[in-house]
Amino acid sequence: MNDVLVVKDLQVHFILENTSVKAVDGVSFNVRKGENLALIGESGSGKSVLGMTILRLLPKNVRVNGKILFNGSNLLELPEEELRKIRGKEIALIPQNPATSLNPVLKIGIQIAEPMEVHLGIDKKIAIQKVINLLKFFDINPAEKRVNEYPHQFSGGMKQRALVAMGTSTKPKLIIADEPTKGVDVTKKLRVVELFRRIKENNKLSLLVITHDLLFAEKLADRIAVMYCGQIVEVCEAKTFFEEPLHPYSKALLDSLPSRGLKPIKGCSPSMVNPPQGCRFHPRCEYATSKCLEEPPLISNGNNNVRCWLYD
Amino acid sequence: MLRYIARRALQIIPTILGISIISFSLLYIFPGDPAEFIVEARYGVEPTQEMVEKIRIEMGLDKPFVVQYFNWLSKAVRGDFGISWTEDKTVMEVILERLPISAELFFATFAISVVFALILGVISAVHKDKAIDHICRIYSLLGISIPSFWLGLILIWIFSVQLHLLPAFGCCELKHLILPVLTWCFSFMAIKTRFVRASLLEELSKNYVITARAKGLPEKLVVFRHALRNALIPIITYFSLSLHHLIVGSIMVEVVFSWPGLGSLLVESVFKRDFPVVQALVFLSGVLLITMNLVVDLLYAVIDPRIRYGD
Repeated sequence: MNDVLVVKDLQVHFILENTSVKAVDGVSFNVRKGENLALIGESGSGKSVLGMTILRLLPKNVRVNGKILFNGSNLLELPEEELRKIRGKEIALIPQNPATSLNPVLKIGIQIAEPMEVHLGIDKKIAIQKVINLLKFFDINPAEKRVNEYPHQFSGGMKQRALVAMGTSTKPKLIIADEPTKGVDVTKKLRVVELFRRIKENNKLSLLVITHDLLFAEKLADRIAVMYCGQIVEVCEAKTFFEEPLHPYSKALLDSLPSRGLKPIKGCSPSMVNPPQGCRFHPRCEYATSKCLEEPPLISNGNNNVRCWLYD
Repeated sequence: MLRYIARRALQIIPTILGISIISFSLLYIFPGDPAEFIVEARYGVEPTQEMVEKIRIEMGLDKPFVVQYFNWLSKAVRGDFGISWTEDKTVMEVILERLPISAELFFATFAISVVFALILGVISAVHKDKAIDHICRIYSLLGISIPSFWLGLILIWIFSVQLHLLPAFGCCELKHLILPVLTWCFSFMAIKTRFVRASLLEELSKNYVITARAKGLPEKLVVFRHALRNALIPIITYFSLSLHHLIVGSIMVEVVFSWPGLGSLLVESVFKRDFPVVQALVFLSGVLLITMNLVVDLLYAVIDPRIRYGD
């Protein structure tokens, strides 16, 4: 088995009073050992929901179908207590919004030490010592003083690094990073890339990065999965994606980059309550034909997997 | 931290001065001539012009209002509120006699309702929309809507008149305490239970709780170490703001159960027009409230580091 995580035909539907929002609708992908997989897509394409579903952190009004296999067991069927032992130990989440993701009334040190205490049974004093080393590693200095400070005394970047330190502290096998460049200045983005590279030096871990930041994905990812309206429309090597994307949506997404002409994609993101019939991108697609009213499967084309009839 | 305490303590001085003006003015806000009240209260006879003039000079009531106020205030800050008009004791003696009796009821009620409001509120929030949550919510609704004097009378009827289990009134033993505390807690706790539930639910929906769960913390730690600690900030505010309900409510409960505390004393003194006692009680309860607010402000600083360092 070369895969850390296998997601099979995952559906995540939020149940409302008389409708449902199909945030994730039939998604399959895998994360290989030691790789960086970037899950990209515009806001509202369902990528963050997907990340949260893996650790079952979504609210209760959600209906989840499909399989999420980790170490051979289906995370969706695991009893709560078993899952708790995986959260933060085997699979860590680095949440988006560092500003609100730390507890405002607890010392940073205590918060970072918690996974080590709970999962590795490390004594609190020793755990705090380890936290100080982690803070040093992630350039939060002077670490001995910072460990006793509260989140409001940290800058945004420091909070994010603290969350990364927290996620890596138990040496998990997989880290899910949700929008790590959200709200980060363009000038600081390379630092985030460097931060994630630094984690990988010490750990043989896999990284699932959820982002809408194509440039960030290009710098960090080995493979790219593109999400559109709750579905994955293309999965391929990062290099291939940026050189020869196959799916019309991938092409359009790349063309919208400033460096490639800043062309906006026509139309609006479709509704997730009533998604378009067939290929979800066809109303906005310039290559659309009548066949696109049927839903295309994920089609293998060389190294790419693409959900488009053009490659049938 | 010390500077913060000192600054907060200095800020309460103007408020206390305001309260003192209001409590002293009570004497003049009431319709009628204070000197006549004194004659009536002290001798129980229809006042004659002569007696009134004599009392007026004796008590310094002929001096200008401001002078009288400062005379009163300078004694009041030393704990001297003069002599009761109806009893042959100083006001302080009268109050100190009743204070422990009220304090017993007050602290029993406050402690019990805070503890149980927290327990019920947390249970309700953690088991949101389950049966136990509905029961807690029905209780809150009843507690808010049932007037405590009515509940008090009903409890007296059930436990004293019908079952002969507990005394209907009187004081100073544990069995006397049960019915008034029960009555009072029932309503005092109700809104608090709901408030604890709402605050905790709000905190449980925040991002840092997702972080805590994603770390694999046991739900117990997520609720108590993470969410409840944050929820305590509004809860403490609300509980302390509700203390004045407790002071006001004490009057009702003490009267219903003939509990000879300060609440009953206030009512008696108003009816007997024993103004020095009324003034002292109004002033002291004001000072008490402000002091409690100060303590609460300091408690915030202990719980919320943002306030501590914001200074």
